[in-house]
Amino acid sequence: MSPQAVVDIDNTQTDPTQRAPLVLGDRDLAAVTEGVVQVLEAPKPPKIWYALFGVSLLFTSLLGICIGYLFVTGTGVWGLNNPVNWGWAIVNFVWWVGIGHAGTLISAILYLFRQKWRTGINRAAEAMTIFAVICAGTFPGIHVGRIWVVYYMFPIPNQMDMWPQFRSPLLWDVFAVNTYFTVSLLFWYMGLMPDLATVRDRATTRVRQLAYGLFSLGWRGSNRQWHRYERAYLILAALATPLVLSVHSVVSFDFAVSQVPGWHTTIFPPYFVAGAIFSGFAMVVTLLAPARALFNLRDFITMRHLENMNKVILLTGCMVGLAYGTEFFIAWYSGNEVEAFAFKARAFGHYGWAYWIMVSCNVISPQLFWIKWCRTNIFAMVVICIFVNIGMWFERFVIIITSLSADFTPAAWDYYSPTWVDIATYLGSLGLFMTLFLLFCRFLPMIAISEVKGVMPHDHGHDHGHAATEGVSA
Amino acid sequence: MPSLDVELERQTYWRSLNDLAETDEFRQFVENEFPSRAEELVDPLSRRRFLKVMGASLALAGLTGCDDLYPGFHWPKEKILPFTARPEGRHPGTAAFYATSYEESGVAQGVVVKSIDGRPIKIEGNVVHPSSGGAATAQAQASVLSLYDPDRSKGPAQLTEGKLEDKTWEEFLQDPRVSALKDGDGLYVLSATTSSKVLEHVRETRMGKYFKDHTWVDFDPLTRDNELVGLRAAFAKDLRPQYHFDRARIVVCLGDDPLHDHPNALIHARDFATGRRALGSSHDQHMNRLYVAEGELTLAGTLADHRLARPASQLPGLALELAKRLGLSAAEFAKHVGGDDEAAVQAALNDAGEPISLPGKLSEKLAEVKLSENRWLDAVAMDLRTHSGESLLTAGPRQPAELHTLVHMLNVALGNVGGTVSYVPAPSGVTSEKAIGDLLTAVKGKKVKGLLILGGNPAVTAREFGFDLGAITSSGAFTVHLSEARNETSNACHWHVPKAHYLESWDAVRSWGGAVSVVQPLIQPLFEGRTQAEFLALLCAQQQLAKVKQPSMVKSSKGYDLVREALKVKTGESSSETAWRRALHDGVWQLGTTGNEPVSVSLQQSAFTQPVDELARLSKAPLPSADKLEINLVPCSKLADGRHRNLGWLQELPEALTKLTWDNALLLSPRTCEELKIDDAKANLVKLSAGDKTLEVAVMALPGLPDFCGMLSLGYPGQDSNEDEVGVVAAGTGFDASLLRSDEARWLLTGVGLSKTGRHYKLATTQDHHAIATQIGRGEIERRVSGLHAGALAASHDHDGKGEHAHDGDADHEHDNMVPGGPWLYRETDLENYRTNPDFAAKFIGPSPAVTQLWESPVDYEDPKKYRWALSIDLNACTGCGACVVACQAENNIPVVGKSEVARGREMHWLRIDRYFRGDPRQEKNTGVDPSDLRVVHQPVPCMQCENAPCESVCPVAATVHSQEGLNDMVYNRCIGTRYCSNNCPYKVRRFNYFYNHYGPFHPRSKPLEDLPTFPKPPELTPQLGNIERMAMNPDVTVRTRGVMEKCSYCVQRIKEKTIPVKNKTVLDNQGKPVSERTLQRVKDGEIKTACQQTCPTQAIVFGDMNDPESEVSRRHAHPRTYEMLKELNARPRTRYMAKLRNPRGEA
Repeated sequence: MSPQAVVDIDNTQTDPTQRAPLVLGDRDLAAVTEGVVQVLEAPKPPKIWYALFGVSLLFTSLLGICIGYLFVTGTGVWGLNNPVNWGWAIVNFVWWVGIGHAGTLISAILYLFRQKWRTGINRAAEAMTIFAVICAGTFPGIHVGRIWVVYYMFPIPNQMDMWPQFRSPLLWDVFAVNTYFTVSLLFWYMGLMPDLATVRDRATTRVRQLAYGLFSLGWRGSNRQWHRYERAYLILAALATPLVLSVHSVVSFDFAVSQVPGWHTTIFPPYFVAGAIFSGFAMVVTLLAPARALFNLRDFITMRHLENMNKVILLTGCMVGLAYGTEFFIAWYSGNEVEAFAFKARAFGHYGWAYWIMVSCNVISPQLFWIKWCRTNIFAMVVICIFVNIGMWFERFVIIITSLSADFTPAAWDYYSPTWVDIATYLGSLGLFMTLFLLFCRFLPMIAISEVKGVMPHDHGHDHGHAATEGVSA
Repeated sequence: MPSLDVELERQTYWRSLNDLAETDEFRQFVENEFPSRAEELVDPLSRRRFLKVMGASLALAGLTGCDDLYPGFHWPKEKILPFTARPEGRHPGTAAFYATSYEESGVAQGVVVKSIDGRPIKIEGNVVHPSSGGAATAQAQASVLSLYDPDRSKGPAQLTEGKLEDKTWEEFLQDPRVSALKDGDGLYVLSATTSSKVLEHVRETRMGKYFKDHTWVDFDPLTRDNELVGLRAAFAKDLRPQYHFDRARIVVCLGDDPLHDHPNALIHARDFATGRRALGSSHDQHMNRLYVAEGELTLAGTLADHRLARPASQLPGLALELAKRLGLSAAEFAKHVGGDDEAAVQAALNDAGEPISLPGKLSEKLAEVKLSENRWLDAVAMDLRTHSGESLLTAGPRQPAELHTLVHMLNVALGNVGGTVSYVPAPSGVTSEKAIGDLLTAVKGKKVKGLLILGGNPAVTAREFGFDLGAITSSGAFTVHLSEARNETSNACHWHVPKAHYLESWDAVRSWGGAVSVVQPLIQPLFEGRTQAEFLALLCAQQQLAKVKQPSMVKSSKGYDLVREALKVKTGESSSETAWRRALHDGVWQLGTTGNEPVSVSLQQSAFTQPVDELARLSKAPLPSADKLEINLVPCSKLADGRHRNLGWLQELPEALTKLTWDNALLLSPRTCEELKIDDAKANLVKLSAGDKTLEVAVMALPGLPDFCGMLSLGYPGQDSNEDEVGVVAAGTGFDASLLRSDEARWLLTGVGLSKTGRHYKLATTQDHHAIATQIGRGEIERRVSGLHAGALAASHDHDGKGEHAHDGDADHEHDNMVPGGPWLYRETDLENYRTNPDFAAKFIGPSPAVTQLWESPVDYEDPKKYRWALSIDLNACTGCGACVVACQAENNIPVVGKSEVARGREMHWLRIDRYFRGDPRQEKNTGVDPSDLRVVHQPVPCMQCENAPCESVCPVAATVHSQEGLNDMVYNRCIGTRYCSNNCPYKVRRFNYFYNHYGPFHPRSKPLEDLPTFPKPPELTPQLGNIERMAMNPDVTVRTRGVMEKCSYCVQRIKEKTIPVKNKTVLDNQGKPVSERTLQRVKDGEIKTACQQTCPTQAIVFGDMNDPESEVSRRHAHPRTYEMLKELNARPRTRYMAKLRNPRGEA
């Protein structure tokens, strides 16, 4: 049976008597390996890859130029002003960190919850996480006024006998993001090792043998190694799980701990985490829906995967909507007039347009996922997910900019507008992200081969006698 | 008192200087100190000349004899050069203070100049001077910047082929046209009005001799000519009124702002504030009451208890009406007042009828209801009648002379003369208008052969009289312009010669009251400048030289000799050395004299009818309308007539009412804008046409102006101006309003047409950015700023109809101001309410957090052994003048950032003055609110130095930390610039260096003019500020780099300057024994003054130690009027405010 024929199987239907298959196309273990590594063993990537890569590289250099210009000239090249001391840089930072949430959530939390469908998407999602956190980490690094002394932020023993100031949420942020990045990277890399070894073993050129050989760290696939691997993977998953929740909570402390009306609210940690997962999943869908088509991975990243993610988006979208409502309720109910004004101004003030873009994209558009057609139609889901990402960017914009532009002292209120450098830097960060992702697609196995094999029916049939699953491939 | 300590003659001094001059250090020093001389040093051949120029040898000076002809060689050098042998007790880097005088429009202001290592860096008021009282105007303070202005002329220049070409003084003196001026036949001297005794002396003794036929023309566009003429009509004498606001209970200003727009404004403001101080207990408060009727919006108008906004053209009628209300018809007035018997006049006035019966109850606060013209007049008349002898009427400088006559007649009739007003002789009876008129007649009659223009910029400021300098120059008359920097006038003259800055000059000038004040140099002339007197004396000396042919016979034209000579002659005193040195020390000749003795005056009966008739005629002026606007041209409150336009500090100082920087704008009331369909936020450029003159100008809406009445400042060079003519900083700023003026209509233009251009011009304000002015924001501002009227306003502006607290409407707030809740930033009430609710300010506080302190503070601030610095700002005394902002800028090396950066919201001022309007001006039209009802408040906001500083806890690198004395210190070299502190500061007093602002990409000096677009250049591509400009920096304060946060430090350098010696002294006094903390000496209260406090004319700002219960600041902080801004945040600010009181007329 040709793979094309099997795609027609609707694995999004859940029949209690029949467990839907996670890998389609009637593949045996070898075929799984073949299906994944064909992407990176192909002599040349698809033409569109070159086009996308070229564009991404252009934008990456734009980022470099902008950062260089910023360093040489000063933070003033951005549109910041006196009340609005944080602008697009911090908006982008929070947005990217948020996007960087899906990967680790998929790999760690879903792993602990034994959600086997995660195996199809976890590798790409984790990679995306790492690239997003790289983009995110760039912004707080470059946004400081004196970049050349940015190391004051780190607890490095020094001749001044000075430590960072541990009461500052910005410092917590430094630790939170760094920890998250480190653990995510380790987790991702560890998961990659068996697959890198597979690629190494199949390599036909010296260069590939050396490169993949180097990074697979001598993986032989021995039982002992597998045993260690499984234990380590579990430990890392356990470590990463709280980080998923903590990192964006800490990011939200940057705002919640301050006393700026509109920032100073206790709802921020859970609200930010929900928003992060929301945007992270939306980004995974946005990337994987075209990627599975481009690299012929429909058998591994099936409609069921996409639908599951869309369901998560629907859930977290509702949570975010609830948070928006709660914020308004509390602003009114608390009797805090300054906060009440901050929220009134948010929705009806001079930045009202941004607020309503945010609400439309984040609360209204994911509601379409109640409709199954929307959840399972590639075009619809990509459009909605792009909307969600736009909305989540605006959420950060609304929180940061509107709150700062009009706080306690009306004489100091001012309007913020970005400069071309702000915009170009943001586009540049998208370029960097895409560049890294495209390189990943081309040179690393996008699907966790060994893990997918682990959830294939044969294994389970063997261990537990789930004969029902065998019927699917029939 | 350094000026008293210096020995006059020290022969050995010079020999050692010669030796020292060979060293690298000295050369380096000179290079830094006198950059214009630097190249001469490099060239060894001219070093000798340089040394000569520096006055290296007294002997040489004696030998050369005719040293006058050598530029720069006219100084008693021994006073100014740095010491070769350091006198005992003098430390390098320690500030020395010298008294001198700053003159503007012929009126001196006593100042004290702070000089560090021979570099004047800061101007402050002279406490003992009768025209300063310790305060200095923004302009006087900014004058130190003009000393170091790189646009100043570096030397003489000659007009060659339409351009000025650099020359030397010798070349100037050798110009045959100069020597052809002999005997002064056809020689006209057009001098910017000055009260210089020295100039007067030179005119009398030398000009009279060598240029005996010359004609002298005094011209200054800002002199108070109408007042002079009006007083002459009333009293048949040339007089200057002296106001004593401290004695006045009722002050009535007709189109006048004597507190700001007056040469003696500093003293007026101080005295006025004395009459409103309200610092004692709440029950025995006596406050003066200010009535202002005006066609503009002035700061006095914002301070008024009752303001009446009427077109300026209607003020004469109003004044007449007031005179009538006082119970005197014109005929009666003449009958009663005509005689000399003042008692009879007084009796007549008192008997002049029953007290006026007022329609309705005046108990309703007049300021808060629509105050019709009638009621305003009734209230004024009632108050004046019941306060005769304690009242004061003033008229503005731009009001017709007849109005001045009437006002002073009323002052006489009310018995105010001798009490609240007295008169001293005016220095001259010739008005500028008359003088320039005569000159122009001479020009027409081709009588002018030579025209020496001493200072000023008549090519622009006398333009409306038809003064066409270019035509005069090209007609063959020899024209010379002496001025500090080249301007439009210089460019139209045959020669431009550099004028010495007053900080480089010797002179003696007079204050408003006539006190003779000494001007002494703080530094060698940087660029070969000469004073007006020196310049004329030099010309005379040259004439003399031509006659006597023997240099040794030529009279000295040194400034120092001239001033000694002049004082000897002019003061009629024996100019003894002691008296002279005393005067140098005090800054005033014969300290204790306030100037001229008041002269007695008597009203001229004959002069009475004409003014009344004229006023009656004027009062028939038609009301302005949409197609016939009335435009008040006013001197800019910052740049005056444009003389200060090249000073970045003043250009960037937010204008007190509009908060505009770098531009002027046509101010129209919002209702007028609406009527004319001008959207000042989108397409504000309009074209004005007055007669045959037109001007394109940007409109800005300013509430409080009468309908169809505009206000436009003079002094801006306009969009087309170029750097060569007006200076780099001034180029391209504002709109040149002088283009609209004509001989007949100099100040008030009537029948002005306006057409829209549909284009927009970006104005840079530091507050109220147009884009943010949404309805919702405006409603919130009203609610937040003052709780007093929140209910009424909330009711009318609650557009979203929800979320507002249920205020019970107007009535409750009228008499019960204890509205709980809300971050009332600004607290004010009426005197009446204050008497019954003295602690109203504290009661405004909303629900405070139950837990006041989560953790114990690591520092016990209340430990009496420590200092606990604090600042109190009395909003009742603040007039919003802005002098403190410039003082802060000068003291703390605050950069000027340029217009586009201000427009971005990145101005760097550490101290800002928040200005709030009450009411929604855009609603005027619908609600029929009278513009008179406008209430404006001014609130200076420095750093609050919170004890629980929100900025500190969020800094990740501990760059902002608390000192033991409770100051919130900013550690610049630790700051990495995350800007989190500024986000978390509820007062938003922190300022971030987005660029290296001292030569930032948008600094006016950092860029060529045509390169204005918003494309910041990296620093290495940006021209940097020159050495000259850097000399203005205060060496005691760090010059911040880019990327760091900064803010008000309570002038910590001033604190340390006083506390460190006191601390050291304690240790020494105990003969090396360990000193117990109890014996620690403390700085006395009032010894440390922050820069803003030092210069505040009304002493609204007081700094001191809260741990000293006797200190002024402790007393103020304990006063019931004191409140903490945003107390509900529990930041525990050390800067606290004293609520404002108004004193509207209550029940009669």
